[in-house]
Amino acid sequence: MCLENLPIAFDETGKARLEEAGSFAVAPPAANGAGPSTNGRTREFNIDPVTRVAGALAFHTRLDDERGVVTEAHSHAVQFRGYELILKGRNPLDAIDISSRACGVCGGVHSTCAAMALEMTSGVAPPPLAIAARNLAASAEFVYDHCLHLFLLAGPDYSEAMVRQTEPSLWERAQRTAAARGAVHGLQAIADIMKGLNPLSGALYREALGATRSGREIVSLILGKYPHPSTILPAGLGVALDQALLNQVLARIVALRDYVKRVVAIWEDLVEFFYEASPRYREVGARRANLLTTGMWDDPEAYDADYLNADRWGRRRLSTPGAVVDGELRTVSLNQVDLGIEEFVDHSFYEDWTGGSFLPASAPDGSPLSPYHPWNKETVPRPESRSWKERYSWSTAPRWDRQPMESGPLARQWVTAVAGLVDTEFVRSGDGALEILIPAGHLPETIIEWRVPEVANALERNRARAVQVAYSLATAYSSLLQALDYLREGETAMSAPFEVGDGVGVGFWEGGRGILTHHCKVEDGRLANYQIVTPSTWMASPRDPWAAPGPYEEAVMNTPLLEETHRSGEFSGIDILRAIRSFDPCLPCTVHMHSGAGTLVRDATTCACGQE
Amino acid sequence: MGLGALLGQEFRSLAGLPIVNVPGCAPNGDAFIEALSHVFLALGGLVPLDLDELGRPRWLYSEPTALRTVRRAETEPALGQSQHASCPVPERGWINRVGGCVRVGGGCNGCTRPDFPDGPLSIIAAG
Ligand code: SF4
Repeated sequence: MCLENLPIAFDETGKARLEEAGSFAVAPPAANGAGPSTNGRTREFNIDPVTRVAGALAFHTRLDDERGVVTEAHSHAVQFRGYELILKGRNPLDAIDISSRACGVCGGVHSTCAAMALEMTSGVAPPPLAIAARNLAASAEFVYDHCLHLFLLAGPDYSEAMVRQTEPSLWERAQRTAAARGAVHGLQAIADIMKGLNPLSGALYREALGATRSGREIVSLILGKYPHPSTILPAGLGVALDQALLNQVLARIVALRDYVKRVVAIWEDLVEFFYEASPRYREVGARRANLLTTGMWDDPEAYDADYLNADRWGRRRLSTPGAVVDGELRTVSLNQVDLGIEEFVDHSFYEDWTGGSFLPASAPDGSPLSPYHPWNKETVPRPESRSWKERYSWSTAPRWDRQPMESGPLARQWVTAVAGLVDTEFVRSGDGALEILIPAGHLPETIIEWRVPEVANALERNRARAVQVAYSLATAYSSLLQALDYLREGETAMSAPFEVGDGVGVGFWEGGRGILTHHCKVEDGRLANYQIVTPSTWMASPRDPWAAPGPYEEAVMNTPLLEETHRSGEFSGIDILRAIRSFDPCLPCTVHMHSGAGTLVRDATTCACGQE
Repeated sequence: MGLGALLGQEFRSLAGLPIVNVPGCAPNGDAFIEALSHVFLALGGLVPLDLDELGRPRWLYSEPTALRTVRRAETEPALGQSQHASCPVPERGWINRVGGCVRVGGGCNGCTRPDFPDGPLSIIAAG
């Protein structure tokens, strides 16, 4: 059954109904287990990074140094953002510009998601060429975004500068270990890869900076400006797309062909090195394989902005929507993905909005919706002092079928590989595997293979993200060829007549780091409600009403402290950092790390960790 | 607008510099680097610091830009001219001389204006 914990059943045609005597009521939280160890041998360890997606993010942990385990973890979004309140009552078209500001890293994804929500509200889809161009911009954005994360944000955690300090024996080993894929990436030993990852000075770090620039150029050519685009409209894209512009894009795609092959080879080598050095690296950042994705990159011939057809056009996406619970694919229906979403605020600084005379609305196709579904949600901030047992975060706790879910490249590829619905010239899927064809450059034509891993952990998230760079470039290339075809066939329209209409709509799109939904309700031509659920909200979430931890929290609690210096004052918390960063939590520059007494022991930036 | 609202317009850094405003949401990267290198050159005594009355690099942000007609097709029939902003992007593009808001046919929401985002925000949502 697709939804096991929600009282929603589906008939043979896929139509949803409320189960007999079904209720969305939330049972009182289960008793809180044994609780954190208080034997006096644990100590507090707080990490205070600042994220851009969900406002500032801090992390509180309790460590047992003797056993080398984390006994307690709390993810704490320290800032209220309030985009939903800003948008309320405004002209719906403002959502495109204003929601974009929710993130300074994921360029264009919020604007696009907002445009799609409005398209659904009014029932108008863009012409095919505009859809192809939207795919092209979004896939180029992923090339930029994933390279940025792999080499500038997460890469330093695996660099010489870091490993030398945190795992000296691993650094010794890296110098003795030949890189299996040296013929592709051109580096002899694993130690050479680690040197390349050194922040600011490493060759791979610097090369990635250049690659991100190419990705941004493509995005700027189509979306005008980055990170907040200027060409995104409902039912169209305000750019004069012609062959000359596409040629400029093509030149940049072609120049990246070999680079993406090398990115994959570098991360494959690194991941295997860590696994071989110690199987315990499989436990770093590990959690149950609960994954959620709306998929993305629409088929221009299928997307019609209609909720009633979302199942059909969702299946035609170039990255498949779906939900995996405990490693098992539950659905590939975009409607079912949507119906399973709820947001809880029991441990967040918000009021529950479901009390009193609240009457939950149903979805546009008549499906029953939980009162906790975003279309029914109301944002009511309730600032109060922080308590790890009660309320401790400005992030809500989104759940799918009442399960904590992660998203991102691992989720996108996992669902796509198992569902087997994507079969294009460049990307094949099926039997839990992907094959991505990257044309010849100086390096020969290459088929990059990826298989669903045994475990969802930090290293697999990074490996999947590296493969996603190739996936995204392949998608950029195929979208560009498609756009050229439309131009040749004379299908040059870039927008369809659009008028703001009353009703409800939802945008299903993804940011680099995962699932993104914008649910809106328009009344009398104004936004009556606007609800954004970002990937970082899903993953940085606090505990839910059943006391289940959010994905970051769960991953950190499963992480062993393998750091060789973990008992000394030199403790850096590297394993915890690798666990959290593997989700790509959009860390900008500063990570302040505090030891038990709250004293600052080191001030590490993601640009130069380990290089104080 | 800018840091001056917080630190006071008379603020001077230890090196004697006033607040230098590079406006935009986000500020254009190429213009930002150009402004930064100008500040370094000025610190080195090689050029005078050339800021306008709002503390912006004069040659980048002081001239009202002739923004081209916005090409937003049938979706916004009533719109002709984009609103005014003083911004180098329409002329130079967004990055490495490619892209750029109105240059590719998109709209300008006046993100470099001193009253952004409190003034008229989006040309497609004005009023
Ligand atoms: S052209 Fe307008 S929207 Fe674009 S950067 Fe300049 S002021 Fe901002």
